[in-house]
Amino acid sequence: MIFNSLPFFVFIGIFLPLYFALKGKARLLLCLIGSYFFYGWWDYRFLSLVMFSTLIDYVVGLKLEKEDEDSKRKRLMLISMVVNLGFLGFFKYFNFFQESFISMLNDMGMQAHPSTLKILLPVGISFYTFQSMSYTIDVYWRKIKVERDFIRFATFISFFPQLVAGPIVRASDFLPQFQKDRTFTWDRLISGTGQMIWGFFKKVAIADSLAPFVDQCFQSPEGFSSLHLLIGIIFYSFQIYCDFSGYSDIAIGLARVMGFDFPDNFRTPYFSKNFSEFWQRWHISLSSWLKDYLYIPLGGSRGGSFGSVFFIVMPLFMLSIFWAGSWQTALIYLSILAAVSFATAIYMRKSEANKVKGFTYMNNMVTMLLGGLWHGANWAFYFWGFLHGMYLIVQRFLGKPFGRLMTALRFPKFLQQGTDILIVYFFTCFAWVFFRAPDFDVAAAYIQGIASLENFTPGSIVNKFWALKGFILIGMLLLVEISDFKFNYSQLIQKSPAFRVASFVILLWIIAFFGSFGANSFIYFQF
Amino acid sequence: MKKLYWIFAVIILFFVGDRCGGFVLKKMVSNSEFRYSKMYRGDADCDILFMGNSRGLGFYQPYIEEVTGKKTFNLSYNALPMNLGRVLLQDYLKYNKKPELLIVDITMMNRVDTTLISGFNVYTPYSDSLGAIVKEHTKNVFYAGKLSHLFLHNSEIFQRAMFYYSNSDEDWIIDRVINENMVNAVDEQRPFYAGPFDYSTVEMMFSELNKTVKIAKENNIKIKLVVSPFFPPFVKKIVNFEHLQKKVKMATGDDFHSSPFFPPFVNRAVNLDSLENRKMSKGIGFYNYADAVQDPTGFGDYQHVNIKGAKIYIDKMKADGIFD
Repeated sequence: MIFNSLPFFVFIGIFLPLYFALKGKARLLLCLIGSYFFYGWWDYRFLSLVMFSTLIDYVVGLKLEKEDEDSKRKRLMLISMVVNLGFLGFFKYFNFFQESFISMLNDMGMQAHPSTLKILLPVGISFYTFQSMSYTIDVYWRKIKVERDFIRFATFISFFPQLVAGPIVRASDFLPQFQKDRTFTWDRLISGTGQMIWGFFKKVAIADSLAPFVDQCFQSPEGFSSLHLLIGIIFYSFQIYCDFSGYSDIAIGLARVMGFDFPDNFRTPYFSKNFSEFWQRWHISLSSWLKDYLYIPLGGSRGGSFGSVFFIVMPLFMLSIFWAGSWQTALIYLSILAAVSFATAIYMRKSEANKVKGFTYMNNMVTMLLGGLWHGANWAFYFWGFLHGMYLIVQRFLGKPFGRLMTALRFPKFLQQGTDILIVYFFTCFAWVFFRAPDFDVAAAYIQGIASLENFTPGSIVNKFWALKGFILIGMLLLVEISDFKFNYSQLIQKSPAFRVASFVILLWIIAFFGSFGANSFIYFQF
Repeated sequence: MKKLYWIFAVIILFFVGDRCGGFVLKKMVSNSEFRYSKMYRGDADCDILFMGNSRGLGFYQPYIEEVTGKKTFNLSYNALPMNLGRVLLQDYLKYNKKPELLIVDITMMNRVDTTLISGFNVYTPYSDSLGAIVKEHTKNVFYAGKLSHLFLHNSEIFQRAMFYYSNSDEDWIIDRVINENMVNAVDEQRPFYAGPFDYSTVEMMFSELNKTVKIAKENNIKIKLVVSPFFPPFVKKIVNFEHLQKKVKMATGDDFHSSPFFPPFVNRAVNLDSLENRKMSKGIGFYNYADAVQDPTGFGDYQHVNIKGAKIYIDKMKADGIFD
């Protein structure tokens, strides 16, 4: 079931009154059944996966609490990791490994045929797996207390507003909210509904209106002028932002109506002045997950150990070989990786400070590569992660000198900030090309098409009406986001009921007038 | 309780604004110079009427009027399917004088674009038959348009009506030349290049063609069927063209019957040579101009002529007496 569909509105129309009519265990049970119904609407067979993950982490959690012996605790933890990552790996990466392996064997002259087994990706598996894993890791680290109530725990894992596309909410934030019944309040209903309307505006009016233009561009970039392609990637950057953050807004708003508080998942990411800031504003729940459970355990910006880096880097090396598709390309990949590793090792040997820096770069890169891989088994996501890893590294090298240069040139502060924002946005868009393109050839053709500057005239835009509509909608979004930035628009909405009514009504008019109501799926469902 | 009043205020304000906005937009659409606004206003009398999808925009009106001295009107629109074309023809005849001649580009029969059909929701206040076809293909859109009048105007058709609010769209045609990448990549097998023209697909369109022919005959309008030019190397990408030809012959005769068991000709290579210009029985002309424009600079892309190509095409049509 997706938010922007009629069945969802029927579901929520029945669910919410029942939810507030019930109390205690009965309400919790309704929440669980509702969540399973919501998920099962898409494909009930995959419910068993959610249930199995829930059961494993529930049992492991209980055992971890009782166990004091370190080795046994580690073993328990390993069981949870293997089951969770095993499911994730199997469903997400089986098809890819099968195809790559066969292509490689064929390339080496061995005859191999793909099995007819094509694995369907369960919706939201990456989200609920990470949510479930965070619970087990926190219990293992003794950061949180174990949850003994199975219904409560199962509801935490499968809570329908954020089950399929996040935000990934930590057990430490979410489970305590189940401790007592959430009461209905008008304020929550109004502010939650407001955030949902804002989310629908982003998804239905903006993201889905931009989608046809973007799809056309990436289907075959050779057919379009450089200006058309440039607009295409600008539109994609807003499409993916509005699609994903729109989903988060709807999820957070719905949860708020139900009495739960979720942390923000996006905070105007395209206003970031550097890449570290970008990752503090984009898909915050995943970035902070990766930071807390991967980047910091690896050593973060304070160093690290070769052992832990090796443990993560080796599978990435192996993956690169698979990705290569042929043994010759694999050899080239491995040579490059070996050369980079060798150069890094030499750099790190020079001084203790270099060693710390070297580890920080490696930790950054490993985190971003795994962040890319989290999206799926595709070279494009891997490369997208690599690019963002590189951005973070280059920023550490060049950030300060660039700042000094701007100051020396006596750039006014607003111009300096504007330049920073544009630079970050430009490189983010560059990485989006690889994220969106179906293969490397298309991505290369896309970038080549823009860089050629061929036919850089408004007349060369193939569907001017889509473009015009897109720019109007992006303009509206930016207007609201900038005014929120400057005048704290959200506060004004909270304080003034008249202003709130006007804002809601205007948004609803815009949705009715510009919205795309084809019940288009959310981009992040595929992850 | 006070909070509840605010919720009612949102709902009431939404509908009041929606109706007021809808009223203003409806007025603007009806005053527009866009082709369908003119048609439903009764300002579209002509001698020659054209119908087609985006390829039908190659019937470049200013030049046809210049070379023939006759008044023209074009019902063509991007991805216009035959069933919608038939309804538009009926509505044209309802609001305007009968033309002498109807020219139809038959390549409009290979798909039904429900998004486009739903876009015509904006003109449903003027036509019950248009309402019926929108309702048939996109019931939700039809009823949502009744609920929200702003939503009724949520379409590209409305945007075009605004774009052509005070200037005519008679000269609407692609104004670019096919780019070099596309010329070089015509043989590639990517989806965009693979040849989307498969004429064996939409059976229902032939019965719609049959109805269109009947409407023309009943109104004593001469009808001629044409295939507009394709970028020459692209012609080989077209499949099931013979199937189209046979079905068109059946559809335009009085003995037409729709057969769901018509043998499929999936991915059969095209033999355009077999489709010679000819006069068909029952007085309907069928003319193939698929390869009429050989100059690559006469195309905006593989399927659409630009002004230059349109002029070459129109000159050939004129020489063949199509406009007579």
